[in-house]
Amino acid sequence: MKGYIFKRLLYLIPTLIGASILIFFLYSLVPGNFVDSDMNLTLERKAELYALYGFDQPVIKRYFIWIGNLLQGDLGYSLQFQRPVDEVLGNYIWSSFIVALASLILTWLIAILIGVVSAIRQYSVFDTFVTILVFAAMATPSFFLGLMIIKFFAVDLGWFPAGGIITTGSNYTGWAYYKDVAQHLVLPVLVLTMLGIGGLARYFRTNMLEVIKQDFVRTARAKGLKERVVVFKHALRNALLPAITLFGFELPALFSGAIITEQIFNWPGVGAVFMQAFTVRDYPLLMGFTMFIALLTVFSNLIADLLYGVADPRVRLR
Amino acid sequence: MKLKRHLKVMATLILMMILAACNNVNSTEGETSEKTDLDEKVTLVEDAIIKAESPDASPQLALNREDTVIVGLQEPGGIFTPYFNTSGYDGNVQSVMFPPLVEVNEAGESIPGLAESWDISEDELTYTYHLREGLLFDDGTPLTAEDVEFTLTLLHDPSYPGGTDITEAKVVGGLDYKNGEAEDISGIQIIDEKTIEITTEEVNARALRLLGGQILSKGYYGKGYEKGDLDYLSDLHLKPVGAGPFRFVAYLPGQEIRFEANEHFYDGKPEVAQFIYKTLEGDSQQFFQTGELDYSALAANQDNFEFLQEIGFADTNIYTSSAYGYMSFNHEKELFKDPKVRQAFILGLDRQTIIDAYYQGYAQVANIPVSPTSWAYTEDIGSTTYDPEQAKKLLEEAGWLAGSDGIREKEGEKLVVYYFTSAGGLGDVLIPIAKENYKELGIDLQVEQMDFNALLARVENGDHDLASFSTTMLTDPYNGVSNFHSKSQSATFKGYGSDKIDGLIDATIATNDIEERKLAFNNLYKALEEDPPVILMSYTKVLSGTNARVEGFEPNGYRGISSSLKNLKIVNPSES
Repeated sequence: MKGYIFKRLLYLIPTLIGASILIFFLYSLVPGNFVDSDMNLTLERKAELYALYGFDQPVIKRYFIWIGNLLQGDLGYSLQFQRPVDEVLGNYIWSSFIVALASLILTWLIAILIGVVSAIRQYSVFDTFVTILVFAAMATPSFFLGLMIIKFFAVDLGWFPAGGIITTGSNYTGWAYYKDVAQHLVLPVLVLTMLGIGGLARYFRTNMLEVIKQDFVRTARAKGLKERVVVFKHALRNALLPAITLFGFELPALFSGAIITEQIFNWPGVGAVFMQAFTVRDYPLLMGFTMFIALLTVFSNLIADLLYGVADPRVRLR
Repeated sequence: MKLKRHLKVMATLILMMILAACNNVNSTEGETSEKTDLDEKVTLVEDAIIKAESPDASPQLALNREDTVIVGLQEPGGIFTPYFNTSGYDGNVQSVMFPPLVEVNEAGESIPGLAESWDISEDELTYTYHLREGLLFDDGTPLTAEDVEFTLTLLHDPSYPGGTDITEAKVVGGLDYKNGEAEDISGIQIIDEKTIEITTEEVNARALRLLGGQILSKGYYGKGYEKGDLDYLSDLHLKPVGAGPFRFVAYLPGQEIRFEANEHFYDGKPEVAQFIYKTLEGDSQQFFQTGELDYSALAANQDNFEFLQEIGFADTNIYTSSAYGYMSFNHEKELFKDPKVRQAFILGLDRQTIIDAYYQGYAQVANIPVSPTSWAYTEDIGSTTYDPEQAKKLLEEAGWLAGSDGIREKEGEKLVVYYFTSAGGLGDVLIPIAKENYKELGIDLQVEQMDFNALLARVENGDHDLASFSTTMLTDPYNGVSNFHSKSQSATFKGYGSDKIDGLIDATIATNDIEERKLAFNNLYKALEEDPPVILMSYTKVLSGTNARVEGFEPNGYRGISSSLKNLKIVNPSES
């Protein structure tokens, strides 16, 4: 097992180098850069700024400078914020994380429940109704869903704030603060959950359907176990196994922010910042963040693979 | 200053693009209604201030906020030191704390700011600013001529990384400081604590405001200053000390920027105790409607106007922007060397229909490169007419003759023109109409839509024939024409210009007398009509709503709301 982990860790190195090459050179192909976007600069001033930011160096050389800094843990300096990239990301990433985590937990819990119930009651009224509902939610574009929810719950009913993370100008501390944030959290989490549930619920339903038709489930029933125990203990556990891989993919999503939903709910998350960085071509921020997500993706894949081995003895390596 | 405004316009464009993207759902419906709009006569909306009909309808959320005023703003970059920011929104934040020596009023004229008056010498080369009595920074330290000197010196520093080009003012000794060994700038003389005299090498009507900008405290920003090293300043970008109506309190990234009333402000402490810029990523309407914002600028169109009327508690303000929109020619292309061709492209485009269809009366067709808000504006020059027959005649004269397939040809080359524009916005309406218009003239218009940054990069490369742009807010009419100068470094106008035009442009800043300048601009605008550098498109309106519980917002096309913040007042809506 240890040897396996070590080998897998070694494989990460070429993967990450490949990712860094792709990220750097793809971004360098994008037309326009931070300095050019100011139409009013004179050519002289532009040249000065080019030199200042290092844009005048050849691409290859810039790549090695970038990767060299990266290895020392330096993500670079955001042009737009004039602060180190990790500091900028640190300002925004946690608020993205809270929303993503809350909606992740909700999505999985509800999706598992729906998946199980619609599998054991296949083709029932509940199954059909829920299928239509989750597909409808999944098929609605996030901005539309978001705006409808704002219109209904924030503007018309006034139950929840229309956006932001705290009440503007408030000075709450302690519990009042957490309560305030939680109130602002409801609508964006609702939207993200509605968007995410459909696919997952269908996934669990299919897995569950497959599992409950298998022999060991029949055996469990035959030996007189209660239906609840059969479904939730024997069948569900097996149906959940493939989901571990899926769960691995969710890890980077926890940090990557939801660009559109954040924008609509004015949530100070990293998705919105990323979008803004792109419009002004703040390359250090863009590259640093993309690289960070790439790193998370690679690691979460590794973790998923290892966990899979823990959960399912059949694929365990010795 | 220019940089800030430019980015502000750019960001507005981006915002509009995002909004346009959000509207796509309705696009099929939209198209049909636009068609019917085309048939109706759209009348231009006048600048107006409309009082709220039912101020009592103001949401409880807003009424509960007794001493705080909240305004929406796009996320700033967090560089709150004037002259150092790259984002225009940082400029908005700065203007709350940093009033300039010389302010601009709603007609684009200079009025006193921190300086209570100024003198310009006979030869118009020396500017003497007289600061107000007893000026203090918001940390309580005095603001004196020394701070003015420090600010101007800083801008001349060889390592200054920002976008303000102070050398344009040509201060005597300025270049010696920037590029040479000089220890100070010989043209700047402190007469006494509140008087400073600055000598320049060349008459430039813009120098008064360029030199009379926002002031940085020498005691605060100048601590540890050594020529050639400004890196230490980056630690102060998030801790600004200014002399404005409000003092900086805190910046919560992605959420808000808080200010409190400054008791040291020269015009007295503002009545409102707290002012907040709430940062917004997208639409602001819902926040205004639920009362979270007290002031909100909206895209100027009939729908948004009706929205403000419907909610009842909004004081509505419609004013004209000082910017103008245009479509630039690629002057390096052989095709556009002939002014007749350019004139034909202008006459052959039905600008009125395009502007009316898109802005629904909240914009007018531009006739000269300056907005009607400016003192330099005149209706007598330039035309806004659509005359395809005349356009065809001009093309014939230029040697472009009808080809077999309806597309004109000259020496075997087809008249195919590539037009670049940013996605969304005006382009959605302009493209189909322009294609139709130009097809009638025998021009094949090919369109490419892209994001704004890519547009700039490709225009710089010279890939385009035509490209759409808008200017930034133009505090001086000269800014609207400076790029037409052959010495201008702007990539958009490469290849344009002649000695005659250059001379006329220079003449517009060669005097400080406003009447003489008007005349100079008139002469220039006439010459530009003969030899057009761009297709002038539009002067747009700005629409804003204020919650009736707040009084004092007086937005204008030059400074936005910043110069009126000191007058903010919270009133009980039921009494007003």
